[in-house]
Amino acid sequence: MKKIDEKTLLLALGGVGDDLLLRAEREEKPRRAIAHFGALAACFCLIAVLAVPHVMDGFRMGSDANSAPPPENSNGAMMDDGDAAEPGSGSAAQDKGGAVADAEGVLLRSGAAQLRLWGVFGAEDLAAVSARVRGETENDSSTSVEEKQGELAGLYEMLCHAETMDGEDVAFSQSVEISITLTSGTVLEGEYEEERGILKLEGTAFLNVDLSPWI
Amino acid sequence: MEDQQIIDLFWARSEAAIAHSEEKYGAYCRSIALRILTMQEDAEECLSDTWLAAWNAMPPQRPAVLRTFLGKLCRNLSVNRYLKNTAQKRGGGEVAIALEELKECGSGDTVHQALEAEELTRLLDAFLRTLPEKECSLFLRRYWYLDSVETLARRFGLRHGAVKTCLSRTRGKLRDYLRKEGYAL
Repeated sequence: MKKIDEKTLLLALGGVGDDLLLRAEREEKPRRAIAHFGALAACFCLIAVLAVPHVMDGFRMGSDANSAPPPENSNGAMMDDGDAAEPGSGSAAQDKGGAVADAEGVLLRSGAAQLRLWGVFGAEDLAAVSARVRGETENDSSTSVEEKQGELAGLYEMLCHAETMDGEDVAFSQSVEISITLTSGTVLEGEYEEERGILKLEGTAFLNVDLSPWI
Repeated sequence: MEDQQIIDLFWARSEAAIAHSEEKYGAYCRSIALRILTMQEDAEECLSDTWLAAWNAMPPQRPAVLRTFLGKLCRNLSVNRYLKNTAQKRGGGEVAIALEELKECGSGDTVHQALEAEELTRLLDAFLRTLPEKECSLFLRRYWYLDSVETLARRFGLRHGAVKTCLSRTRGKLRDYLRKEGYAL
């Protein structure tokens, strides 16, 4: 066994291959800590996105169990959410779920589900819609009244497909008073802001709707 | 100027070769010398010795990579100077000087040592090629370029402890490798 010391080793190391030295001179790109956190955050987001529908289902099922039985249809049969989904609505999943959560966690309900709560299961349940145009200033109210009988089927379709949220926090600056009369005699009161396309009806805000044909 | 042109100048015995080498690789060689010696004056002297050594080596040599060729010359000169400086500072200076003097007398061991060093370099080269790329670069940056552990941690994006662990593991592998080849530290 030949004896060598650390000095010999240090000097001998000086003659290693050029390719090894050039490789060692290449700048390493350190993986930044922020990249780790980014990956972790992305994982959490993915898990959250996947979990939300299940959590909402759980909420809905719990709510169904605790609340009154579902409304009856014209034949007197009990309707579940699936049955209540309107034909041709094209959003069966949304209707079935009844409610979803937006990015901020605000509970949203599909327009169809909200209408069902008011006993509206089809366009035939709507009798009339009227619009009362307000003036420019707060004090100058009820300057003109205009009633229009619009195409109710179109209105029903649009409301069915709209997303809704709690309208308590929705403030309107300039709006049109809206009344929707149901065939049952119930009148749903609310207001509509054309600029943002928000209809607030009985405390529930329908988002991205266009009521211009009925105003 | 291209490396090949600088080498041609060395072969043509033109002093412009040194000027061009210094212009192109002066900063690189100075950084190597400064990492080993820390003293600016010593580093500058080693740098001058590097150009002289290159002048003496070319011809007959025609390096494939001029950068590493000059880097190796500079490193070896710097390490030798470092060892010499350390030996002189170690109190028992007279013993060290005596040993140096005896070396100059020629004990007949120099050729043997040179051959052994060459063999050891070949073994080290072969060992380094068995390592994963990152581990190999980490080892060379530490023991060839003499980078500090802190510098390595920054460069490779590793924690201080991780660098030390990796280097320790590589040293263990090298010890085992050299033992198999008949060398012991």
